[in-house]
Amino acid sequence: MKGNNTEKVTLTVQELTKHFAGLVAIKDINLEIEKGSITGIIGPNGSGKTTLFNVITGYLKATEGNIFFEGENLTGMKPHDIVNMGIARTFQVPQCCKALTIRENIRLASLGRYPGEDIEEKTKQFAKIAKLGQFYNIMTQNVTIGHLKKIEIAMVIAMNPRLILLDEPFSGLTDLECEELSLIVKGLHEKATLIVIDHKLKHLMPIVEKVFVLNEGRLFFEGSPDEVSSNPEVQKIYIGGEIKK
Amino acid sequence: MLDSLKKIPKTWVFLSLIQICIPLVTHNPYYLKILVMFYIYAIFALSWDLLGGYLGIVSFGHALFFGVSAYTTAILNVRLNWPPILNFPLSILCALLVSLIVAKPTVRLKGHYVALVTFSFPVIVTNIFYAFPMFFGQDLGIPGVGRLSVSRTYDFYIAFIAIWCIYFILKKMINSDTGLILRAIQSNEVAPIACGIDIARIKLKMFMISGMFAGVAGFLYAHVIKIVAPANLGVHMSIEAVVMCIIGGAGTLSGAVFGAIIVTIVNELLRMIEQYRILIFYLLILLIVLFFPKGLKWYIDKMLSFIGTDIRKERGTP
Repeated sequence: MKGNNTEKVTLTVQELTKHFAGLVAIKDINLEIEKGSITGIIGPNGSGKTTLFNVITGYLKATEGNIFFEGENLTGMKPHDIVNMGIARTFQVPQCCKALTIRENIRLASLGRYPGEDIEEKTKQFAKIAKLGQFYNIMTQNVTIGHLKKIEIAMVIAMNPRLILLDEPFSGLTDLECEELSLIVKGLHEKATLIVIDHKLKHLMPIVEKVFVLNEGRLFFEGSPDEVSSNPEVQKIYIGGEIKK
Repeated sequence: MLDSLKKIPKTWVFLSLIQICIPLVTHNPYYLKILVMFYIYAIFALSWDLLGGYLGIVSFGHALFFGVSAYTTAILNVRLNWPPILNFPLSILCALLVSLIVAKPTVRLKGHYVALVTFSFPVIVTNIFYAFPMFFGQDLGIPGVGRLSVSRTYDFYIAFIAIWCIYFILKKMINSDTGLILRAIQSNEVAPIACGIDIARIKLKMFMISGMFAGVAGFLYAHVIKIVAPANLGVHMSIEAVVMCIIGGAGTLSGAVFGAIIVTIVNELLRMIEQYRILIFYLLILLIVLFFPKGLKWYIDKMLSFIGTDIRKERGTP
């Protein structure tokens, strides 16, 4: 079975369920991500946001359900194969190689993707886009969390994906760093469809077009940032009060 | 290829020239044998370093590939009278096949499971060897293996060419994007996976390359020592590969070679006090690991840093 409406829809998640032994992490999730959109996924801690990302990107096997990317069924595929189909992601805790320099990390992500082109020049270019130009040859183990987030984004850019999943890109960053990162994230949107998980709604809501709210592993609400922000039920489950945009 | 040869450091060329001239200075078979043994150990250490030093796969059964190759050539030579040159491809093929069999389950494991699985395979194979004493020769192994060449001088040059080629191939590989991938896998497996790299496939390939080079060492060993025994694929032999790399500095090719020099010299010196050999050998390892945890080569490089030796260059940067 193929996902419907592949011209407009990049990612289709159908009845996705993931159990960890007896614990239900996500249950019957259905969502469609439109091509070229920026979608936010929010929800309280433990609501299943990262599990959803992990199942989509193949790091966890779905207990039930299917995932379609541009009409192709991804369910059960290995993470590296999913990346090579055109889906790249970042992680809650940045997963760079600390024994490599920033340049080497970005080069690693570029490998095999630009045949016949100067990969060194490309790597430099990606570092510049992620505002890492001046730190190019620094060892990754010596940089701040803000830089680690940017390195991951530079790596994602280097992979030239059609769908990007960002897992809490703003967490652990100062407001100033979040603003800088927001601009970089918006830049990514020019080339790919984006799904962003984050708790920092102040920085997330202005950049997304649609928001899915998860609660206790289920899709609780979906709508525009305004609809989500003004929904009293969402406010109640999410922060127990009004959501500030 | 020609460009690569032009890029060979002058110190390399200088050291190689000195070594080439050794047989012209001395024909003493004892000294030449020690040098050949050093080359064999160095090849074995380099093969372990590719897995342990660069990929972080700490194999405690690396002697299996060494021993299987040594036994293959010994059996073909002693039982079937085949000359070494004919045995060479078959010995390497056997080492390759065995490395593939070991690699298949190992590449998906981590940490102490890797150590346990790699340790188990040689134990199984040794017991299989013991089960067929007529063929594999039990404790005494297979004596009477034919010489590698007509003289020790030729043995020396054959071993010299072998180590030179293997070092050159590994150096090229480590300094390429493959080396970058290996260091990335060792640093954090999630990152290369997230970049779309099939790390299980890379590990499998490296296991086979490593097994093949250990096989080259095993082949040379069988024809130089002229006897193969179960000890050649035993734990002590595997530990020697680990020790050579740890002493010299794991994850640096020259460190593995340096470790091989130390182990060869120590082994020869301790031969005079055979009964204490193992005791002193392991005490020495303990001292080096406790007081020089980065490997002796690293500390020597530090001391000589004024001549521009950089450990990071050694680890390879494409």
